Amino acid sequence: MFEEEIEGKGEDFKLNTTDLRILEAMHDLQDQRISSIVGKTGLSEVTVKRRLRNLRKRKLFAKKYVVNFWRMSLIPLMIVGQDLLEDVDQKLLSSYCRFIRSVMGSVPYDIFDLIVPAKKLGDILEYFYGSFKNVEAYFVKSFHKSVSFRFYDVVKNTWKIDYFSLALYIREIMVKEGYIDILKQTSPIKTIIEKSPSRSIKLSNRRIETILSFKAFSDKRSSPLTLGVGGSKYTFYRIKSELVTLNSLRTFIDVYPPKLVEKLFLIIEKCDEHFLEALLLGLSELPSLVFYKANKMGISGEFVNENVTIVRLELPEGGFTRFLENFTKMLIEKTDFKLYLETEVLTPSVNGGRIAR
Amino acid sequence: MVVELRGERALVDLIEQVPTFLKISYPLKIPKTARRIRSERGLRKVFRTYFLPKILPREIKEELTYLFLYKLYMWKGEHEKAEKTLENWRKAVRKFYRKCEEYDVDSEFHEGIEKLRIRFPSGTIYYPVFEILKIDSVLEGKLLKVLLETLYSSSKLLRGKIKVEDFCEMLWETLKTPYKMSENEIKVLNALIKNPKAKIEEISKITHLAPSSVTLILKRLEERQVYTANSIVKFDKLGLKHIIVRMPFRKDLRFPYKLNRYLLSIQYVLGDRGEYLASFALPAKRIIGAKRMLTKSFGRSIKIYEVKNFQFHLCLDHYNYNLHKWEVDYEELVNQIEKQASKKLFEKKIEEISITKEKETVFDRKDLEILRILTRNWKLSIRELSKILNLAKSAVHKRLLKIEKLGFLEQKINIHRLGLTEDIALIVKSNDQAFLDTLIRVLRKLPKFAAYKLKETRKVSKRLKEPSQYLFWLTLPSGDTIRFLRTFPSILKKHGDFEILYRWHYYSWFLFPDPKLYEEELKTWKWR
Repeated sequence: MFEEEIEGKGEDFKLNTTDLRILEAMHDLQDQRISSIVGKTGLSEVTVKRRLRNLRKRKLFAKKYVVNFWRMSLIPLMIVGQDLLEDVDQKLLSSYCRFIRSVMGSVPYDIFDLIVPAKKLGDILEYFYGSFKNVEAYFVKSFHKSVSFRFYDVVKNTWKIDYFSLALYIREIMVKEGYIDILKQTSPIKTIIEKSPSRSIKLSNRRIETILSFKAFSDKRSSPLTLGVGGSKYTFYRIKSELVTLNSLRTFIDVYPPKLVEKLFLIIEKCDEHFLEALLLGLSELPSLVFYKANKMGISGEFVNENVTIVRLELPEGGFTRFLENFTKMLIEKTDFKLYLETEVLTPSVNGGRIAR
Repeated sequence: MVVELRGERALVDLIEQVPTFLKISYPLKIPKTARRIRSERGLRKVFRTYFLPKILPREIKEELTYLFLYKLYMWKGEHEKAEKTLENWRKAVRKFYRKCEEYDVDSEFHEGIEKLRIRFPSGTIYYPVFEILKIDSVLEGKLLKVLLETLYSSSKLLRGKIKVEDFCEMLWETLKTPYKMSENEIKVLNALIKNPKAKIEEISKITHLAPSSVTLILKRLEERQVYTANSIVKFDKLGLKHIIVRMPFRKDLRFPYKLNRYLLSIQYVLGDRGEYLASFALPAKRIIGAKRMLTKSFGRSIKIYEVKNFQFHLCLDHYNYNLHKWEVDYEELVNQIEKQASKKLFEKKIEEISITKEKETVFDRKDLEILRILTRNWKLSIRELSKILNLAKSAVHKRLLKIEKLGFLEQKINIHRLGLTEDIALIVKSNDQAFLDTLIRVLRKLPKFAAYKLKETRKVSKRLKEPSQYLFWLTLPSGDTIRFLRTFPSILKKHGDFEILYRWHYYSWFLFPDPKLYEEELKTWKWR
């Protein structure tokens, strides 16, 4: 939901063990303050300060603001289908779409990342199911992310991922009793935000307009203060603290491991809970894992399947095939899944649209 | 370096030298007690305990220990001891593999040597001793180094023991380590691909290299399994038909016995769901029966295709010998298709191995046995063939002449270990023949390309013109699948329907059915 191509990702620079420790600590603590990183890593303050400056310059991490959409009567929706982009209503796209991803399964598919008002959910579902064949809609319930540098080879400055032992590792986690509980405590998986049972808050149109005019909610590169998109510092902080207390906004330190060029989408339906946990814990050893818990929706808005997991993996060159070779057997036997390889991402700004509101 | 095995001091030195000998770069901790060991048995124990990671199963630990000893003696120049170790290894293998119940163990005699064969539940076959030695020679003796380093990194992640089957997969995985080709090697291999039957003098003329260096290069490439001399069988001349069956994935895949004997290979692919692409060489008259059998056991969703013609092509033009990398420009290839398809430049037919009805030829089981060997390696000499088949050289020569005259085989060169690790199957259906011809011409510029023209075996109304259907097997360099997917789908979509299947596993048992299935007297293939 929050990934966007950023510059500097494929840049050829060297990371050493200290950099990796700092990045991992930041992801783990969800804090970019020097004192907390020093506490976690045991490095000196000067080192952390210098390294952080370098890492920020290379855009390897950024502070983001994440909106709790559900609290604002908005629903994150994911639509998967064939040839959506060609015939879709452009108005709808420009109003509600955050990202359009072109992916390849056996044929090309499009994945739309929409944020829709709860009131219009029915109409939108009807539109997609009525106008297109083979469409599937997913109601997103939560976002999770993990970052790991376990397989980063600092000597050669590349990723050296041992997919084979990772597959064995998942099998091992599954078989051993109590292993999952132990691993959960140390796992790098962080919940970015999830749908809470609390009621949605009512905000005036003007307020929503103001909130969304801060590009900060979609732009992870710059601090909202440096953008100068209207509103004073004071307004920003007032609205921010208001939203934070209302559980509608939170900050998130996003770490971007470098040199990851192949992005995989894995939609898992019908899966044994125990296996899914083991799989996600195993996959969290890979450089970057984002997964969404979702409900599959039918044409009239009913939940067809309430346990869908949408996994997005970022792998280095050649990762797709190596992943297939080592994980397909396991996935076919234990789950009902679909696998796609991302070929292109369009953001509304590229597509001429506006951020969903 | 010669090191005496006897004597305490020498042993201590030896143990310290082992990491140097293995050229491994992972940290080792050898406790002082290990230094008391004085015999070969002790050395084996040291290696097993301190060098091999604990995640390995007992059988594999034993095998690797013998490999270690064998290599150590070879390194020291004690060839007799090395041979003895090899003999002991073969004997020991029988002991420790026979006990296990997880897999089936049986024996196979090959050229007078009894080979122990292990069959795993998934269908993989593993030959202890031989498999390890073969891969070691292919990797220029670096097997232990590569394996130990991989195992060491895995052992950080894993705690429990892995299974023998997992190890076998890991063993074949190590073979994917690409071989780095030099400029001259590329030149020679290119000349050989263009004319597989070319003599050394001819290659030397084309490449401007001395015949001696051409011989050396060819020997080196063959030893390291960079190329193999496979051939394509023209099944129609043998009364067989090449069939491809597409069916959904099943946990335990079993074909009816009658069909199983004619199975050539199974490709495990993933499209929108898991699927199999199974190849058979079936008796021509039994196609309808086979179809009925397959539909009965796998349901109506399966698709059965007859292979109408077949093409195989290699192209080394994109190999950069300075960086030892493939550099394929997919955008450029798509541009070429666009240009050529619009101009319809290609009126000329593409040469292809077409399957037409030929007159029946006369052959017997011995011919088939020779053919079966030649499909794997057609470069075998008459002397080698006569030794394998237990036939007189003159008889082999006579039969070889007959095989050549009747054209049962198409000699080709196949390449391996050059970093081509990604296999995709592209199925294209189109009415636009000009586009398909152009597509074939352009796809032939990819490193490894195979095309099957398919005909679906189902009743189609004669009035409707059925679109041509092709199955392309593309073997792409590591990391290129995404580049292919970013460029090709748009043009394929314009001209017809297409589907891409990604291969994740395969079993290729035979390139040729068992000659024993041929009934010489009736001149037919067995079906009961």
